[in-house]
Amino acid sequence: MTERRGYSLSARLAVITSIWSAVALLGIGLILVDLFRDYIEQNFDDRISKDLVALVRGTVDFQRERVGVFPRPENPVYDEPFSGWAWQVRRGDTIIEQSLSLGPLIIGFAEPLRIPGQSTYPTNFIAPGDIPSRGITREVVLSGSSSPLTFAVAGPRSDIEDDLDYFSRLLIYSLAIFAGLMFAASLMLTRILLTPVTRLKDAVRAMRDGNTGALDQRWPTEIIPVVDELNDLNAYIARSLERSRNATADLAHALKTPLSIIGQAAETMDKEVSRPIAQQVDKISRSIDWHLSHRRASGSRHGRVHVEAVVNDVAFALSRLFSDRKIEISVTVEPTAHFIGDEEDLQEILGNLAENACKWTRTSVVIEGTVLGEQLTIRVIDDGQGFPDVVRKNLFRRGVRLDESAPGHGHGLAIVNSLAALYGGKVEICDLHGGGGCVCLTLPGISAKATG
Amino acid sequence: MKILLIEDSGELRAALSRSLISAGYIVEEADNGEDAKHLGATAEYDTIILDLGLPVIDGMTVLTAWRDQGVRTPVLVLTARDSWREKVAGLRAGADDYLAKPFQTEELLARVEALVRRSKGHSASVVKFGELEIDLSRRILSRDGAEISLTANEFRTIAYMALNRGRVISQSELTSHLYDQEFERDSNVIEVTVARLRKKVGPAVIKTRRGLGYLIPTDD
Repeated sequence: MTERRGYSLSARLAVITSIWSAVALLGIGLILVDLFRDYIEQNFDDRISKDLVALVRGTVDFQRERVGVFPRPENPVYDEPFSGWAWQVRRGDTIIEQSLSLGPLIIGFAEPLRIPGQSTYPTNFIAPGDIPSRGITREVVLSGSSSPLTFAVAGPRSDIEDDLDYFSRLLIYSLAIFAGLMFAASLMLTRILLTPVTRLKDAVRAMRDGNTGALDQRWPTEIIPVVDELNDLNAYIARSLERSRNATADLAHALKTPLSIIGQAAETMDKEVSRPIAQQVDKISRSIDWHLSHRRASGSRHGRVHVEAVVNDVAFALSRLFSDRKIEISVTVEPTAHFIGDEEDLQEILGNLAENACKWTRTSVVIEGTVLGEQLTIRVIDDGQGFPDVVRKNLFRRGVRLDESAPGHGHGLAIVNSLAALYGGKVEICDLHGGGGCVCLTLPGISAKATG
Repeated sequence: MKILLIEDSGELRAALSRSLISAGYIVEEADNGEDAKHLGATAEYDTIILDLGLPVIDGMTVLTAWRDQGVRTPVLVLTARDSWREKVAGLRAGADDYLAKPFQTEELLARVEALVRRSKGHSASVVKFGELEIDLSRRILSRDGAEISLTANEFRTIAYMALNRGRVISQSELTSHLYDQEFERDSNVIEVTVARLRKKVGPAVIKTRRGLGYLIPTDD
């Protein structure tokens, strides 16, 4: 048997979906964070630009380079020490005015708010106090002044980072929930998509068990080619089995007719010569029957066989074959009882058992059939003398005969035993109160409505 | 009694034919289904031995055709294919008995004798009429236990009459059941045989119905 190299399509789809979703969501997350950073920085820059314009507008050159800021920017964050928010007006390196957040303006101690690049665009820099900041600076020559003033406004970059962190956290949570939903959806989708595969498995099993002949065409378009191939395969197996069985029957015919001729010829000879020939003919015939029945059984097709119909057939045949003895053969089989196997094998099993009962009965044979769970039980009861203790253990062995004077080869019950074992069943002698013989047979079965 | 033996194997047919003739039967033979179908439907036989594996038309088809045509002659199926499926199919198609190859001649003869007997309504192989008793299996006619010596032809004749007791049997019926096709139908062999039988078993046993035939009456 080849090693099963199974892998789960669901697991594959789940892994692929997960990896793809993770990559896609990570990319989307990074893009969104970047866009949000731009948005926040833009807002921040607009704010400090507006404050710079307000600062320039409020700066007045009174007289001979004496400058004052009226009104001072109103936002209280500029007055909080070390808030990171600051503005400054200076001429060259001389600080003229600054926000309270930078401390009192003491000449010689105040530190200029130098924003690199002298750019009209906001720039990141490290403000006094080692505060990572973002600021904007502009040189303006006020009317009446001869030299330019440098205006600078800055704010802490931590404001931007805090907003960005908050947004990032929200984004991560949102994307995680979205990823979870995507994963669940992919699992559900996989399950839905694989439902026809599970259904196909059940249908193939039903076909193997004989509950259906061929698979119908009610399948998704993608599955129909597989269904067609399975139906073709099933038909091919059926044809092969039929050919094999016909070949088996032909072989039996080809061998047994010459055996009959040998037997007939032997009967015309002296008994000393004819007896061993007859014995050998009988032995060969038994071997043929034994091996052919096994060959046929090993290639059996499993189907659902209506037990009552088979028992009725066998009872009819036996009533004809034993018509001289006027044996009453009664059948009490559950109408819904079905055997899971090959009809011909069941006929062979029941035929041999019931024929044996007919040989030994006095007046009647009863064939009972019941199904319990997945087990079919058949009892063949006769009102003969029953089975002596000495034959009980060996009755189902090849070549054992209850009575050498009775017709038969003594292999019918051995074939029954062997066929029952092939199906995982068993045949045994049961005790019967009040005398008579009773053989109990158990086989795989099912209780179901007859399919006709 | 006349038997139609249908078997495609020449050797087996010849051997069976010899055994049946030795047992006192008149045997006609066919080796293919087409001839068998025709013979079984047109001639009268007491039993037909039919092999299923026949050339031209298989035995099962021949049997079904006979039964469809209303042929009621007992048929013993002789076959190498002896699975229960085939047994059931053969018996359902109208066979009366089934014998699987290879077989012993004794068994075949016993089955043929039983079929002939059953078809005439007798369950036992010993038939009693008046003081006489005929054992079909041992081929003995006796009165009060004393065997009456008969030729094969005489035994066949009285056995046929005994099996058909209470029924008038015409000369032509006796001819068709007791003699083969080459028999000269205008000969007086039947009359001579009956006359000899009357001498051996007594004049009152076999009655003559003038213009109709012969009769062994029932006891009541």
